Amino acid sequence: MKFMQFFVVVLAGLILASCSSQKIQYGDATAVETTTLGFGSTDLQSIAAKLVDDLITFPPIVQMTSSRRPVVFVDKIKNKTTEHIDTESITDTIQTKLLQSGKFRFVDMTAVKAIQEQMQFQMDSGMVDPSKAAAFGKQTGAEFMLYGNMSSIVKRNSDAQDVYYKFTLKLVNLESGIMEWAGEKEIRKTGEKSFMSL
Amino acid sequence: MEWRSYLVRGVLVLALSATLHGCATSSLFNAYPNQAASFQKVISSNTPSPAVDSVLTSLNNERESADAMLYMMERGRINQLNSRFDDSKSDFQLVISEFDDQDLASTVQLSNTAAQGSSILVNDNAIPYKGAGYERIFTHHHQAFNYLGESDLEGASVEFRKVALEQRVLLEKHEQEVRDAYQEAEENRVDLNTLSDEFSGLDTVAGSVKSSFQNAYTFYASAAFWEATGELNSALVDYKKAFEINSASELLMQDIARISYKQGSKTEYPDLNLPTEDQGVVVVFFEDGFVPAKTEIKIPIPTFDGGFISLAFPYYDIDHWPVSQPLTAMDHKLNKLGVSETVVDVGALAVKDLKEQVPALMVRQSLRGYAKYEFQKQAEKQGGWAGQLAASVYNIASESADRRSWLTLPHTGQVMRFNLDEGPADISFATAFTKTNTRLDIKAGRTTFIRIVNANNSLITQVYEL
Repeated sequence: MKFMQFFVVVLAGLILASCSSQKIQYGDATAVETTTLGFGSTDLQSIAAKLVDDLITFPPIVQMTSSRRPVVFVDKIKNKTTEHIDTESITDTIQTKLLQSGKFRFVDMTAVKAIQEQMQFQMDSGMVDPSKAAAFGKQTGAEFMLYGNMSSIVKRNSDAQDVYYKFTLKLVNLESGIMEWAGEKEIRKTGEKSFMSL
Repeated sequence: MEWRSYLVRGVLVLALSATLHGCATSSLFNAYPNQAASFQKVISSNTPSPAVDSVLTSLNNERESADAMLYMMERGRINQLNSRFDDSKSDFQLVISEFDDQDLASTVQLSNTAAQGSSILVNDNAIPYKGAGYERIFTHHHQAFNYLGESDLEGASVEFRKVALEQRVLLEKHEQEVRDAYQEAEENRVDLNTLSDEFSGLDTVAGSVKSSFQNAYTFYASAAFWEATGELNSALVDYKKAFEINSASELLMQDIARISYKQGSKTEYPDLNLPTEDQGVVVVFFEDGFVPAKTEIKIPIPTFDGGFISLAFPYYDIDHWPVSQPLTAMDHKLNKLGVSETVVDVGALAVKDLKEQVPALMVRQSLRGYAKYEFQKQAEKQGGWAGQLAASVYNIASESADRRSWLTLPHTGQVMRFNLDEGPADISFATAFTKTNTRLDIKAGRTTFIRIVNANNSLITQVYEL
């Protein structure tokens, strides 16, 4: 008879196991996140913090930015990993931090089209006072370009997984072509299977 | 003893309700290939039709089911062949995240054990579908084509890198078999150094083993992608891996020689299939038929007391294996442009996967045989001959083999490649039974991927411009 009872328990277990409830709560945006091994917010934040720190404390850059705020253009970061990562989000964070450091200024290539449309409107629509309209041909050209790439090496066997990310960022002088600075941030994450879970 | 017979009935009702409940799988009492027949039927043209929509809707209802992975693989492919790349992408995304979760899922999962337990009383179809290694590779392969369909080359490159990782994981899992192949080659004195310089680093001995779990069609697709995007190193590696598996392929030898030449090496290979300055490259991916489904064999096993317990096993009926057709391409003047070469037999990958599951399957089936026998005995004790009859009927009805696998996948993957002059080109593609015409707009120096799917004897054409 125990045998039959076992089946009843197992079947009831099956039905219960598949039905669970949700729990939603707010968390700290800078807290360490380890939900999965994939690229996450902690990785993004640590990459941005390390590279910005590196760049603004690099002696020649400190010297150069002591008297002026060079204009920089940010190119796309090439994603060479095995994950779909929004690299623009990483460069956005880096750009914001650099801007807030007060040492650099940026031209935003992602807004060029919108800027152009707005200026066209100011010039051609007849609705804007021509003496107060922003004139064409007055924008400042970038002196430096910030670019780089992100790559990863993933290893996996039946009970563990290891992910290594390398983010490289370079600052090049557009006129001379000289690379003024390069920084690198490495991240390694490992995951191991636990023996038992619910 | 009345309450005990109620208990027996209670178990039956629970087992049935578990199958009817959304939490369980739909394949418990309706063999999966029967369900998949309706999915396969709607893949006959790439124009939207009400039949396609109704299949897609019914598949979408399975998004939360235990077999969600399986149904989303089918749905993703149907959506993709209808050029609904965004929908297909979200279907495959679900499959990919399930696969990723499995990588680090704990060895013993109690919720999973419950399903395993209930499978003991019903059949293996009660265990949630986990997907096979070759299906994981095809998932990323399809996902890459979704990104190509949306002209997102970076997205496609991520998927091609991911698929390379999965193929490597499969190789590492089968290391022992590859080692055995070497040993055999040594024992039979096969010379491993007969290939010329260009093909150095190649391993045809290992290749003969690799063909049973690695997918050369995917290697070819990623190699062609890397070549088109200028990453010659990656292209060379993937062409070589495809060649290891298909060591007789003239096309692949030519591809390897061409990449070596592009990288600045000298080559003695006579024809490199290089486009001239005002030509574009066309790479054709031909997917023929449908991968064979598992069939079922029922083996009656005698019990101690003279009765029989029937146990069902899945197997592939290799004696009735479908024959694949090559595809021929011709220009508007009926000049032959090329004939496709088979680089993967998906059926062979599926057979290998089933073979690897046999030990675990045998263990589960013996447990099930014992459980069902005990169940029958208990039923007889409590319900007399009527109870025994009911239990035997239940045992026979509930016993069915696990025949689930991704069935809208093609039977074979074939490739060909040719160069065309810039401008519009009318190309006809034909198999022995059917043909189709396509107008291409060739751009010099660019690569065009044409994917042709032969399903239900009609050819579906998709053009991806890189």
